Order: sequence, then C-alpha cells, then structure tokens
Amino acid sequence: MFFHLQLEREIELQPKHFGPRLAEILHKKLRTEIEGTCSGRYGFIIAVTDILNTGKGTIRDGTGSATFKVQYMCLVFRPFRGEVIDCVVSSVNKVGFFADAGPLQLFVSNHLIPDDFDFVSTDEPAFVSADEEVRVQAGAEVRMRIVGTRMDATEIFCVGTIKENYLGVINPAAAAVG
Amino acid sequence: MHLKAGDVQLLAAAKAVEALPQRDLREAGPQLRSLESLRLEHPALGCSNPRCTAMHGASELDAVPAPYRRLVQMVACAFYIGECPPYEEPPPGTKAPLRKGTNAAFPGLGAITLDALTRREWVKEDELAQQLKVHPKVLRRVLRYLEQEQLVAREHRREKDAREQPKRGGTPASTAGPEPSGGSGSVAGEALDESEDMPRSFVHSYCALDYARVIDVASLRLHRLRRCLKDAVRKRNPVQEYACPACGARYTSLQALSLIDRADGLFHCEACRTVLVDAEDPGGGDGGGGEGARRERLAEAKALQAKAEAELKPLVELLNDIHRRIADGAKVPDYGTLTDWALAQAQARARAAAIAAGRGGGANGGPGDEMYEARVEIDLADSGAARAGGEPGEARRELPPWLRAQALVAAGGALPGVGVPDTGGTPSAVQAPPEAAASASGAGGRAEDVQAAYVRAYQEKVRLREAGLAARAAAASDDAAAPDVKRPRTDGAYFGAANGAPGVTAERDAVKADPDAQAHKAEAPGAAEEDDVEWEEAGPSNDAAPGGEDEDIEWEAA
Repeated sequence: MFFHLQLEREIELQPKHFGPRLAEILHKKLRTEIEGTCSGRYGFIIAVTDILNTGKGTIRDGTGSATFKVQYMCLVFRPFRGEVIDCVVSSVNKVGFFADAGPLQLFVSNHLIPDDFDFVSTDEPAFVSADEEVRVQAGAEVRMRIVGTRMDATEIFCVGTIKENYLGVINPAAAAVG
Repeated sequence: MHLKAGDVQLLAAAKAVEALPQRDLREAGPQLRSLESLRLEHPALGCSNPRCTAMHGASELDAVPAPYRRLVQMVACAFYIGECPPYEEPPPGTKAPLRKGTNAAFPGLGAITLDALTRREWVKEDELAQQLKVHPKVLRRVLRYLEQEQLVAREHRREKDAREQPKRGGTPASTAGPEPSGGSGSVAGEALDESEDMPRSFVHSYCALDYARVIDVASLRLHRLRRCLKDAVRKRNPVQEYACPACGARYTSLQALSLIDRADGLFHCEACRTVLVDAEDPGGGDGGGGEGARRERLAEAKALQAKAEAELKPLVELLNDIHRRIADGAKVPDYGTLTDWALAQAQARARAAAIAAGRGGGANGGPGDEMYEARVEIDLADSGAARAGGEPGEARRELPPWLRAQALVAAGGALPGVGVPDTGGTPSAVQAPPEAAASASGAGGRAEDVQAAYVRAYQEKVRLREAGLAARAAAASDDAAAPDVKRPRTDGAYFGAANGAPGVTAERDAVKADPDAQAHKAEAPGAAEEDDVEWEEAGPSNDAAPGGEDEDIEWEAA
C-alpha cells in the first residue's frame, strides 16, 4: 500500500557546497540518500515529492560541515498482510516461486499454489496448471495475496499465496516479454 | 454464548483449546477418535449405543427441561463414550504410568456419569458411586476429569459424620468407616482421649451438572472442532516451515531469500548446507514436501470433515435450538452453589412440613439439614447447660496435658476440697468423667500412690494460691468502692455484678444474652467458670504463672 508522508531527516552538507546552489544541492542529496531505501517502520521510500522546509543549517564544530533538518513529503510503499498485490515472477523452482513488486520481493511456496498446478522443469521451470493453460514462470505477472511479512530495519520480505479465487497469473504475455 | 461474569476458568479453557488445533490433524486426534465412535441418531434421545439407550430410558426430572438433558446426553455420547479420562499413550520407551486406584478400563463411565447427573441435582459423590455401582475412587477420577472439562461442578465440604461420632467414653473401635488415627490401644488411650472426643469430620464431595457451562463448553468445543477440521482442509498457517534433517535448525518461508540456492533451486540450511525438508511433512524430502502425501492427507481431512459435519448435525441443531431458547429469554437450569442449593432445599422442606401442618422438616441426613443446622448452631444455652450439667468435655479441652492425669486421679480419689472451691477459681476440670476416673483407678496401685501424692502436693499449692488471692481480692474490694463496669472482677460475685451491667465485654454479653446459662452459672459457680477467659477470673488458675497474675492485677488497678 502506498502512503504520502511527511518525514524529516538531517542532511549534512560539506562546506564546499555552501553557496548560491546550496538549496539545490541539499535537495539532490536528500533524494539520493532517501529514495529507494527501506525502513521497517514506513516501508520503502519510493520518491520524495516535495521539500517543505530545510531550516537553518548548523555548523558542526571541528568539521565545518552544516546539518540541515529537512522536512519533506515522500511516497512510501508498505506491504501489509492480507493485501493483494500485482507482481512479476522473477524465478521459479521446486519449492515455489519468487516475485518482485517494485522494490519488494515475495515468495510463494508450492503449498500456496493451487493443487492442480504441477512443477515442470523440462523447458523452463514453471508451475503449470492441469489443463496446461496457465503457466507460472519467470516474467509472468501474478496477482497474489500477502500472507506473511518480515520487516527488518532495512529489508522487507513477504510470503504470498495464489491459492484463492481471483489470484494467479494475470498476464502470461509478460512471460514472453520477460 | 453466555459466559458468566468473571468466568476466568472458561476463558482459560478456551485459550487452552485455542492453542490446541494449530497443528493440523494430529492435535485433533482425541476429538476425532471420539467422533469415530459417535452414534448420534436423531431425533431419539441421543445415541444408539446400547449402553446409552439403557440409561436414557430412565425417568426424567421435570426441573430440567428436556433439551438441556438431551444436550448433556448427546455431549456425553459424542465426546465421553470412551475411556474417561482418556488413556494417554506413554511416549515410546517410557513405562506407562500406573493409574491411581486401578488400572482397569471403564469405557463409557463418563457418559454414564453425565447421564446419571442429569437426573440428579447436587449429589454426594459416594452415594452416586453406590448408585452407579462403581468404586468411589474410579468415579472420583471420572468426575475430576469432567470437572476439568467444565461440565460438572464439584464442591467439597468437611462434614461431621454422625456415624463417626463416638459417644463419650464409647470405644472408638465401634465406629464404622475409616479410622485415620488407627485403632489405638488402651496404652495410649489417655493421650488420645482428646482426639477421640473431638467429633470426626471427613471431606465429602458433591457434584452437579453445570448446564450453563455445558452449553458454553459444547458450543466452544464444536466451534473449535469444526475450525480445526476446516484448517486441516485449508491450511491455516500460510508460512511454511522447513527443518534441517542434519542439524535440526528450523526456518520459515519468510527466510526463503537467504535459504534458496539458485543453482539447484532448493532450500539449504544456512549452517550445514543440507537440503531442507518440509517440517510438517518430513517424509516428502527435498525441500518441497511430498506432494502426493500432502494431497492424500488433504483428501482424508476433507472426508473427515464431511463425516464430522454429518454426525454432529443433531448436536449442532440442538445447540442452536437451545441458543434460540436462551435468546428468547428461557433460563438455563442452574442449581447454584451447594450451599445455596442446600438452603433452598431445607427451606422447601420446611415449607412442605409447615404445609403438612405436622412436625418440622425432619433431618434425614441430607447435606441441607447439616448446613441448616450449622447456621443456627451457635446457642449459648447448650453450652450453659453443658456447664451446669458438669459436662467435662469443655473443661478438658483447656486442661494442660500435665494436669490431665492428676485430674483423673483427683476425680477418682474423690477429693472434695479440690472439686468445690469457695472462690470459684478452682479449675472444674478436675471433675473428670466417671468412666475415665474408673479406668484410672483401675490402674496399678503404685502409680496411683504416686499420682495421689502428686495431687496432694498440687492441692496444697492450690490452697496456698487461693489464700493469697483472697487477700488480694480483699484489697481489690476497697478499690471496687468506685464501681467501674469495665474492670474485670476478681471476686466470686462477678456474674452477679455483670448481670446488671450493660454489655461491656463479649463474655458479659454472652452471659446476658442467655439468662438460662447465667442462672446455671449462678447456681454452680465452680462449674460455670471452667471455660472462662483466664484474665477475667484472675482466680487460682493452675497454669497461670504468678507473674502473669501480678500483671493482671496491675492492669486492673491502672
């Protein structure tokens, strides 16, 4: 699930950047530092959308660098248990398959794949339905429900299931593209 | 569900059951096994089990509506038709623990007991055992189990068994039932006299069905059972567990990223790199679990679920019916606690007796009578009469052990100076029961001489003390010119003075409350003071140290 949050962070700027482009550099540095990171509390910070206030920098004794308390708006992505999410299968093996949803990695074990799917490793490893019409293979777009999450300070990992109604492969064509 | 307020026990039980079915069918084993033996036939009384049909044919009580009784019977047939408590297989390699009491199996006793309880209210367990023709220990084990299962309410009372109360001087061997103190011979007879005189009391257990709880428990159990079966069919725990067969480490699928080996596509142990196996299906091997075995298990679970649903249908319908009744305002039969029930019974009996315009409800040995009597037992008239009658039981209780023998000898030797003191301070305990005295006099002559000498010395000492006390009393009488009702009297006219005084001490209140006892005391002061508090008497109490007396007097003067 995505959220638009106001957060705050201290950015340290070296004295060489003190000048007319200070604000620009500060914003750039914030984006570099923040975007794409993951916090256990807020989830993945996808993008900084706005910088509200940089405040007055304070010079740190000894180093001469300045720290700015920057308040900014950002878009975060945090997975929740029970959430239905679309993702792309990244790898398939006997124990299940891995999929990605942006920065989030998910795993679907073979217990959570419908019973009529069998693992086939002849050509490309895939879970194939009994009528061989549906193939879960690398590159396929799959809709799954998150059934378990593990959130560390810097990493989020989820376990999903496609063993429910309206879940499963939603775009097999993506497999060919992928 | 209509939980009783503050019903912690049921919640605890619910939690215990909550924890139960998390782990697949293995946990549901006992319940499912009993389901296998389920023989519910609708709409007949419950089951087609021959043992149960026999017991269901019994007469029905009007007090408990039929659905509730039928519920209990159905629950009994559904879940307690087997061995009760269920025999637990010991872990392999360990010796089976011996059951307390007997190792014999009593299949169906739980159901029989529950059914018998539907036709009774509070019932003494021993009587129930007699009626069911089982050993009380076996029945108690069953009832304890049923109590743990929250179906049966039990209460334990310490009761004086009328058969166990020996008459004074009667031989204890004549009493029936178990003798905790053992058959004491005449050698230790004197030492054990006191314990034999005390009325023997035994703990009696009563049990009754708790219908409200039965409904709750049955609902909860059914709910959990169905959920357990449902979970077995549709796996509830989505996070798969994997175990390392080599080092025993366990992982979950949440750690899949760190476990997966891209080379072979299997999970490997982080420590020993062994291929992990499914923790719930270790036979499946190679990290994925046996797909065929899993499906087989699922099919079994589905079949079991369907079977359970079909067989439990009558019970579920009955429960729904009962819940509907309760929602409509019907009351669940409730006997209340044993005390409440017994009091209600006693009152009902009294009413019935009053209606019959005859004698009062006779005591027929039921628990209600005893409890009712226990309420009105506090009667000073009895104790007063006992004192006036020279009943030595009370005095004897206070007599120090080293004087007991002397008292017996003194009574046997008929020493009048000791028995009838002038100040009333002499312990009346010397008036020993004649039979005891007779037994004492029957002892060897040498012992008697020694005891007589000892008593003479004791008597002399008593006289000296009385003389001293008389002097003090004379001195105190001067102080008594200013009357102080709160001051304990030391003279013999204590009771006469206390009669007119407003109730200032508990003792005086008691005396005042009972004029008969007071009259008795006035007539026989020596006998009346035997169990008074010592500080009140301040007489020549034998066991009071002189120092203590002095303190008493000082306190009095202060």
